[in-house]
Amino acid sequence: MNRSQKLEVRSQKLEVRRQKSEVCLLSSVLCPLVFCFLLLILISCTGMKIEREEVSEGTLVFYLYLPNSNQQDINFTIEKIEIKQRDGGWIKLSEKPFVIRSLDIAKDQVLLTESNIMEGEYDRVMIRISNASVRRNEKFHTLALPQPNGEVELKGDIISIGSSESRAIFLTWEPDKSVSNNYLFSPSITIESQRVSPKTLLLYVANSGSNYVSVVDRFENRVVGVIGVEKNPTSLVLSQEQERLYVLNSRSNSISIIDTSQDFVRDRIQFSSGIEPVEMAMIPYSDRRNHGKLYITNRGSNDVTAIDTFMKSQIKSVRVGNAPLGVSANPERQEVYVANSGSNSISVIDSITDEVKATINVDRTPVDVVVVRNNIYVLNAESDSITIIDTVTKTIKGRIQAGINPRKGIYSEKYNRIYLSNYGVGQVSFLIPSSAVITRSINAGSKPIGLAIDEGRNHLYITDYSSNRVILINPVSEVVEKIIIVGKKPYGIVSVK
Amino acid sequence: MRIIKRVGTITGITILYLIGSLNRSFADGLSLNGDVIYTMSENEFAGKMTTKSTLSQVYSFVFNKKITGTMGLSGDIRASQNKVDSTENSTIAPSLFLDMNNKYFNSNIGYQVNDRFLATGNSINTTSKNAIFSTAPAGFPSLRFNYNELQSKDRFSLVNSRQSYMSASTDYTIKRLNLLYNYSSSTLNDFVSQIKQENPTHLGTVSYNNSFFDNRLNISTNVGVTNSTSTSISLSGVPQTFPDKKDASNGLYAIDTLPGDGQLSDYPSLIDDNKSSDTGIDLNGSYRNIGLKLKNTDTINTIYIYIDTLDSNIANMNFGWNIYYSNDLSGLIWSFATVSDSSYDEVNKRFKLVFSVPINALFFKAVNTTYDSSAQKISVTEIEAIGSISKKTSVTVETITDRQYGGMNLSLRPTEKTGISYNINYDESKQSPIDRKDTNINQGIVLSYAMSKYASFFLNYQSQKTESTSSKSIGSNNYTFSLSTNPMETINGSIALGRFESLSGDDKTSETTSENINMFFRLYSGIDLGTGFTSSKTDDLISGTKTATNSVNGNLTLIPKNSINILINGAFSSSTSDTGRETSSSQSEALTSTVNITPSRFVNLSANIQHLPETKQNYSINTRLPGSLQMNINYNVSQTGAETMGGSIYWNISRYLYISSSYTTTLTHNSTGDRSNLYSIALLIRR
Repeated sequence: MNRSQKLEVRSQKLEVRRQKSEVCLLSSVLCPLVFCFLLLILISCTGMKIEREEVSEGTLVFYLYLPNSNQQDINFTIEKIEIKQRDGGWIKLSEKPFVIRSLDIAKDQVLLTESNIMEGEYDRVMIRISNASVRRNEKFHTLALPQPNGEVELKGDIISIGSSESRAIFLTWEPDKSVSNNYLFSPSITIESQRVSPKTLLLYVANSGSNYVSVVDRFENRVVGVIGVEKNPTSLVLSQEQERLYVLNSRSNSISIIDTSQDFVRDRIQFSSGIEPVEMAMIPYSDRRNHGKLYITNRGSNDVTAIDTFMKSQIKSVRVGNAPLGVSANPERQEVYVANSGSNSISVIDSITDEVKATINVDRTPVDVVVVRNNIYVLNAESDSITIIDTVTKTIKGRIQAGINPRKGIYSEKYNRIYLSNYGVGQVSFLIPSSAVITRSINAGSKPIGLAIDEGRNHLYITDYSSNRVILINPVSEVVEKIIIVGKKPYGIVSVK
Repeated sequence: MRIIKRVGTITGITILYLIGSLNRSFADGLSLNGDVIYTMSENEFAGKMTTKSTLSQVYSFVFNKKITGTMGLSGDIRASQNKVDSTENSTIAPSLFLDMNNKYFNSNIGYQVNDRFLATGNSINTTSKNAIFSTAPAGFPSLRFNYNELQSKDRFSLVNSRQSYMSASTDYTIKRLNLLYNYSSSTLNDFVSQIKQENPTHLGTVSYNNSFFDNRLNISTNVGVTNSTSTSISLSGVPQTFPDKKDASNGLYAIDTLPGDGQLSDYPSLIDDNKSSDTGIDLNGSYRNIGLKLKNTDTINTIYIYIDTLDSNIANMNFGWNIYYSNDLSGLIWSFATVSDSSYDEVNKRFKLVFSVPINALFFKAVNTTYDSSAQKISVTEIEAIGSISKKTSVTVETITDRQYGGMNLSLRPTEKTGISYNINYDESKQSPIDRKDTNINQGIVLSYAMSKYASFFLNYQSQKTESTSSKSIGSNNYTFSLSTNPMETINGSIALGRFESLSGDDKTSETTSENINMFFRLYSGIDLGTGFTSSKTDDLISGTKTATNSVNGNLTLIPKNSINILINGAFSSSTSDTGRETSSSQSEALTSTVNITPSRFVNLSANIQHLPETKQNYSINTRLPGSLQMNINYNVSQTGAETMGGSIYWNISRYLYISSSYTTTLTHNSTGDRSNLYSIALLIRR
């Protein structure tokens, strides 16, 4: 055996020895882990009452709106809403009195009730009315109620609810046709099923408190449908071709994939790594339509989960700083920027290798990152500041003011503005990036958070996390124009171009 | 390996026993999904036509099972087949997750396999194992534990690594004081480069938030400490050098058939750390001199040339490379260096050129002497020069980083109309053994006053300063004042003044002053006009250059009917630069119009036309037809005259079957008549 052969045998022996030691090390880590989880399984099983089989439920959301312009001033109260199973009885949806005023809802749709309901088919809706009145000659006159007991039964198409599905029902009311013989109130209300608009008109809102996504028509600026997802949907990301909407369900550790042309959940991705996933960003693949890599920040485990949407599974967990929160993708540079709110730094991830290539220290509690050409603007919530970083050199260029407690930002190239939601004080600020100046801050709800922009119609949409509203602002006039009622705790929002 | 199999078997049997012992049906939820996608692309480049077809099929079987009220099992099996032209790959990839969530704790363990197919026929197989545990009992510290392990291996032995990451943290809040400690450790074993990296980190923070006097005074403060160690260990046991990318001050490029002498032109996009952006250099010809100038003279042993291309056959093509280096101050005279190995790395999409002996120089360049004329367009994106950081006979390289940071924010609202806030932050990092120290101090003060419901103003000062042992300190001061008014619904405006100073040491290096005025008018119902004027002056105190920029912008919105929305945006800007020796000026204009017509909720037509600086047009029709059908047609013309036309159709045939199809064609209208077509059809089945 010559020298090189001896060296080869020796290196092979070293390799075998190394592998053995790694196996021992691995099993010494794995065995206690497995033992602990078996122990946890036993703890979970013993002493826990085994519950009855849960009944599969879906969610039904009722809206009321006026399809045509209205001159009548009619008020009435909805005392109760019930729905009838196709081959069964009536089920109560709401018993909370709701006052309807025709002039108030002339431009705005109202949310009547959001209820959990058993899966099945339903074909009738009943509403009970009280206190109906009409204004004539500056005086309100009481109207007689429909009989019996003010109950009005509405018929419509069969409503089918599947397990964990959500559905919106629209009651369209025509006040002009609702008073007969000058004294009797016979509300002309029809049921309209959910039918969403062409996707280029759509805006999606993740309602983290209601477990569904609201679909808003940007032309009529009202909800036109709802799509049930899983627990606590927070962040929304559109694919590059805008045919897929990825919804992060933070309490289910899963992603619902919605087809934007048909508005249904076409698939889901389950991932196990990560505690408290909150935000998500996407680097699209150049060779696969609607697919890419999703990066999810896990606030509780200090890492970022990278997921391949084509194979629908996680690729890697990338360790970043403490309590990562905001995340932003730069497909041009193949970089992902993560705001580590607990360690006051930004991690820059190379999306080709999924490795952290730079860590930059910023101000206190960075919460979001906005990419503007060759700079990134880091919003520091506790410092009320923005740190400006050069994307090429990865060095800090400057520091500017961001209003009080900035939480999220969005950049509009058309208007050359960064719009900031100032969560702690209920305001939205308008910042000119080139001059580093905030021109105005206006009141926008109580806890404004998510932002989306429709540049073609001069509309800026903001979710108000403390309520169930989306606030519509004209970014040119910088005034609030409309309120859209959605589900509970709206968080993420995204607009299809 | 036998031990692992035994442990895995025991775990699996235990789980199955638990499922079986509860005598329930197998799963609460089952679904089947199938995606079949066929795409065909045709590209004609410089007279050569290439076609590529792809057929992807991905089927998944998803299940979830509630074992008890607090414990559930879920998972899926994905089978895929991917055919790119005549190359076929298939895989079966399972995932399994066990959740245990109750009022005491949340936990999860998971196992997943993932295959990624590359266009070259290579595939990267990744196996991940995860375990999570978290508990947050009321009145007690919370505890979180997270473990990940990832193994990656490809078919062609370019990638072979195992990475594990463990994190444990606890935090506790006493009244308004929060204490947090986190320990994390990551280990990477790279079996290709035979290097192991370990990175344990300790982090501790204390934060305090409180408000007084009915929220009129708010205080928030935090301090934090981190200690992080990064260790690189050679796995092979033989002397090892660790590759280290050397910083460049500029990229260089020229087409030069006599590469022995001649200065190259500056080309900064070659070193902008962006490996996906086309620099404008291609390898579809020879004698491309692609190089860089290092920040300091250094020893280099490898050059990487990163590329972007649709061609999947680069690894089999014949590219010839020569390396040159120069030590004169301007990179004029070049010396030849021998290349011992040149290869194409398809995973990282780069040419790797290894020197026979390491070279110490300031300038380096790679010259392609031969190229393959059958190749599709190969765009160069980046160049890197690689040296090494140590050449010890021992195996460890260790870097320790210590960081301390903290800050405070104080805000006072003496009246409803007035607000004052002050914030300060301090951040210091030390690295050993290189003895580097970086310190950052930032502070700012804001005053806001709402004079009346029609007017409000802000006054603001922010400063930032960074000191480092490796470079001179830099900083900035930013002063801003803004006044906004909203006297009536039909008119509002704002004025803002700003001053930005850049500092180097204690000296100012540049000053920028800017003014901005915005006005909005609702001229009539359905006619809105927004205008803005911005002026800024920058004085570069080092070079003596003064730059003045003025810009005007306008935004006109016309809504003649509810269904028609017309937006016209215009901007004009002019800039003058005076270096003291010469004056130059430039102008730019932009004018775009957008029309949206929505005759009903189910049809939307939009047109975006850019008139200035170049003409670009985009038109699209989106319609939702009866029978769950949606259609889109679009047409674009770019500023170079290239036209793109396409359409898509989506059809939800039934609750279980969905079909979509799209077609796009692009005509470049250049001298070689380049064009491309893309067809795709997709079928989705779900149950």
